[in-house]
Amino acid sequence: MLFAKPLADLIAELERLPGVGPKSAQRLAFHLLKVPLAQTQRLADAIVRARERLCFCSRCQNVSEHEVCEICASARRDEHLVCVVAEARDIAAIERVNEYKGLYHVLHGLLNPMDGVGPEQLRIRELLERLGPDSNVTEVIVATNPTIEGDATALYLAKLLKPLGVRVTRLAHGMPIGGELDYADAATLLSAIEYRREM
Amino acid sequence: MIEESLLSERGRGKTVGKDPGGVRRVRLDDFRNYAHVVVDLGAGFNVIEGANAQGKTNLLEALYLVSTTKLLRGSRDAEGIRDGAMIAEVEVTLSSTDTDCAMRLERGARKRASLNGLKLPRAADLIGRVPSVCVSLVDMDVVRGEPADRRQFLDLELSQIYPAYLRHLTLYKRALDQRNALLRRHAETPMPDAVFEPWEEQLAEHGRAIRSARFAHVTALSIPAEGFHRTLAPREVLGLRYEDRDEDEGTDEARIRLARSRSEDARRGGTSSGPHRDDVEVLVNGRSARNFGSLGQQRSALLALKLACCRIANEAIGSPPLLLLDDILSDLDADRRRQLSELVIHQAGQAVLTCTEASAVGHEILDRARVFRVVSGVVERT
Repeated sequence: MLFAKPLADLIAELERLPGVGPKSAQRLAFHLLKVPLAQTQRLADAIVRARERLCFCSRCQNVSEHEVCEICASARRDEHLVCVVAEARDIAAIERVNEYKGLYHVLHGLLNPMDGVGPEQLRIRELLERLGPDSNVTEVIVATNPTIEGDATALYLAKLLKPLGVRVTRLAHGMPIGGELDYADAATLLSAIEYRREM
Repeated sequence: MIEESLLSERGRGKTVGKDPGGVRRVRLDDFRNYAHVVVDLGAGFNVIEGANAQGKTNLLEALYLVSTTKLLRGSRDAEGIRDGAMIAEVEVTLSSTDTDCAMRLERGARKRASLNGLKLPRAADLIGRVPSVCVSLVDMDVVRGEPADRRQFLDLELSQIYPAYLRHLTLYKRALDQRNALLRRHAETPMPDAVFEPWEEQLAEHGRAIRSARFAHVTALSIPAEGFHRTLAPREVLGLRYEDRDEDEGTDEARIRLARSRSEDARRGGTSSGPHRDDVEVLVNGRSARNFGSLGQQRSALLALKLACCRIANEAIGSPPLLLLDDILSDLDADRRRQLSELVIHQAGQAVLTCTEASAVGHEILDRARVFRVVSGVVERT
């Protein structure tokens, strides 16, 4: 046997994590063997605690400590606006900008038939429930990535939501601020030209 | 010999419009049979001579790789890496701007492109930086092969000239894979229309862009191709026709076509219509060159087609593309070789030709060429 069984088990578990290959798994495992025992205990506790204490917000499906997340519970948020994102981590990206004051909705994925993901696998039913007859939402901003799956999901949502009388918008795509034209990829440049604006 | 109208302005020996550009230097590291080699190319003709299996074509292929991000003959990327090495790199320096364009192949990793040492987000972002037209014997498939070979030919030419085309093509293929995945599930449990619609909408949109670009390109190619062909084979008439089974279709009609064909496509297990099924008919004297042409006829058709590509690319991008001729001139008779040489001289800006004996290229080209000799992975200027 190459490694003692407990070590081999640890490597095998680490290797199951996304983005961790066999080499990284070995490196992490050997690192964990060297650090103080208390530190490994904190890591193990943090993992278990996160799993035990966190749930999905019953309104926006974001990861939350409470039944309703902090953003949905806040009185300072504009409840006329809902920004639809693919993953909970996308909320963090938009929140860092500290400009958007509306609410969110997390789909937990994008339409992707090749991976067996259809509308029923996404939190689309929950979104429709939020837009029911007594909803205050006037605009839904679809902030899915500009990939073919992100576009298909946006198209699907637009068709579904427009009959409900809400405005459906999509994030713009174009040149990165401070970017250089010469290094921009063709797709970005093309879309920047297509969606250029009057000055 | 050659009709006046076929001579491009550059052919008269003057530099018109944009900087002629071209490749000043190519560096190969652990690519195919080369350990490390730097070749300074001439702005005009470059003849690479050497016995078989010394690495002539590999040198040509290195240029092709940076131009198209692909190896010749559909080789897998790892095949470009020298035996025993982990990483192969080819870097091309352009004369006009001193830009370095590089491709890096790595075992067990994705190929990468870089521009002046900066990694590009996708390898495909390099396409169009070093436009080229390549003619080798395997390209005969463009004339006598399957429709897929001709679509690939058109797609490569168009991608180099119009980055937007490549984007439409990539997105179309991805949407097609997604719809096909849906069709397989639809065959088991019928799926609602709304699930198909977002994919079909994107297929319709990108498909229309692809078809109109291909149609326009084939139309543009057909005129110079016919002229070049007349020089190469005076008694025969070359014709080109884009075969699109859903003629003049707009995006709305395409959406309807796709919606209607769902159950039929599900039964067949794939999307049965669209630009991924189209073809280009190559006709000699009105008959399909694919089915009826002799080898000689097919070769003349191919050469005329490729020279027309040079002409059209020149018009679209303002300078002639790099012409790569892999062992094309050697086994032609003296008359044909002279005719072809003259056409090449007038169409190409910079060209790289391979041959076993430089003399086989003919003095028309040799007189103005820089000649290199390749012996087992070592390149020497003669």
